[in-house]
Amino acid sequence: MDRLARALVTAAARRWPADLADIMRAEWLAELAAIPGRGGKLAFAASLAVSPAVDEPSWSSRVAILGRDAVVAGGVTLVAATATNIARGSAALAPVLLIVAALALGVAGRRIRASVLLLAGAVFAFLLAGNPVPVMPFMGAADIAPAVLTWAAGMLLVRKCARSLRGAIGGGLVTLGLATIAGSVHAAAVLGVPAWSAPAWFPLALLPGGTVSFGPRFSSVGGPAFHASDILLANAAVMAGPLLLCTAFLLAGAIRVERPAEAVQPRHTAGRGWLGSDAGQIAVGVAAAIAALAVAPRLPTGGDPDTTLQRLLDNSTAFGFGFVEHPVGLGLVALLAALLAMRAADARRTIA
Amino acid sequence: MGEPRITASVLKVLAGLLAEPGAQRYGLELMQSSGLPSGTLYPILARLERAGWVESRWEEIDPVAEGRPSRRYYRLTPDGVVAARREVALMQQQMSRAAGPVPRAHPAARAQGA
Repeated sequence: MDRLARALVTAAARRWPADLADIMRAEWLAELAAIPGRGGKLAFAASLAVSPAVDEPSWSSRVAILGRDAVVAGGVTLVAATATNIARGSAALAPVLLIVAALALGVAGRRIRASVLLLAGAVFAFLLAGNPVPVMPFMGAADIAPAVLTWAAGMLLVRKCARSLRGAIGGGLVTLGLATIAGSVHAAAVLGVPAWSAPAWFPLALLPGGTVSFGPRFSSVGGPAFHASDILLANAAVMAGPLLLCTAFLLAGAIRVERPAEAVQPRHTAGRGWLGSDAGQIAVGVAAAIAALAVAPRLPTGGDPDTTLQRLLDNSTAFGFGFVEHPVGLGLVALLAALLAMRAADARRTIA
Repeated sequence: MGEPRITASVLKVLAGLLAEPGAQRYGLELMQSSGLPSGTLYPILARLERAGWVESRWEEIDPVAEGRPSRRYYRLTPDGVVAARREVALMQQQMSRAAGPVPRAHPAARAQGA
């Protein structure tokens, strides 16, 4: 027990600033020696182990930051998903619209910080909830998880190592290629798609369906004939589109010119008009929620597998918003829209 | 050296140190007097020391002879005494204003109580 208490205070001291870490460790070990009873020692050490160090944000601040970052991650995911659907629905223009959407998200990413892990979690949850398995045959957790994990690991690495725009773009594209392969290995094995084609899966997934076909050919009675690559690339497109846009968002934020640490400035809210007031923010949030409730049910939900097959084969359907058919899913989308709109209004007020 | 942010926990620590302004107090003693856990107390002491309100020294003992390591003790600096008194007084003022005037007991109730 004493050893555990000593280990806890040692671990706690490591989180303190370098000029204080050794001093605090020595002090706490001395206090531990003076505390009678193992329970007292353990309580002393455990409190230090779970509490923020002197310059760390408090737990309440951390929870607030986490909530704010989660809202950003959810919002970026929904925007990326919607933009990808619009792009893919335009058939031949899909690659161009995807690039335009990536540039737009890149611009947004330069202004808004986002967490790679939270964004990965949001994309995973969205892909899992938005794509009914009958429509997307290889879009279960076993397919999505390797793709999203590979993408998250790659993004963390690129954000840490990339020093230039060129390096970030290169690292991002390599990550997207690897993530697409990781998410399509299962499909390739089942469909008999040759492994040598793997490096081409990501770029081909961004093109309209039928541009290139390979692998075994399937035909069904009364249904369209298709190649294995049609199904594999349609599945890959489901992940590749939103991951491409999220990559643009994250990397644009990572390579922006670092400014000095932002000092907390007092808010100047006087004279900002009605929209800058608390009541104005609430009204903005309510309006955004109502707009989300009106728009979300019109987004593609995946639909009936029979009618979707042709669109799946020509790669003009990206993925569904199946979860908005459920009241809870629709409510979450409306809540997210409201929180994002209120935050945007608040940011305008703070900047002003 | 900026002014530390004054919270209820900081006031508890300042009040504990003000009880005997010249006295040197170990962290454990301050935990007992303030009722704060170690994880709350030590970051406060570090911030107060950075602000120049508190100073710390190591106990001058021979750890081998004593059979225990030296402990670190804290006390208010002269500036810290002034600042702590000011903050505690300010808080008392705010509390008494929030509580309002103490209502006078009704004469009948006083007679009954007597």
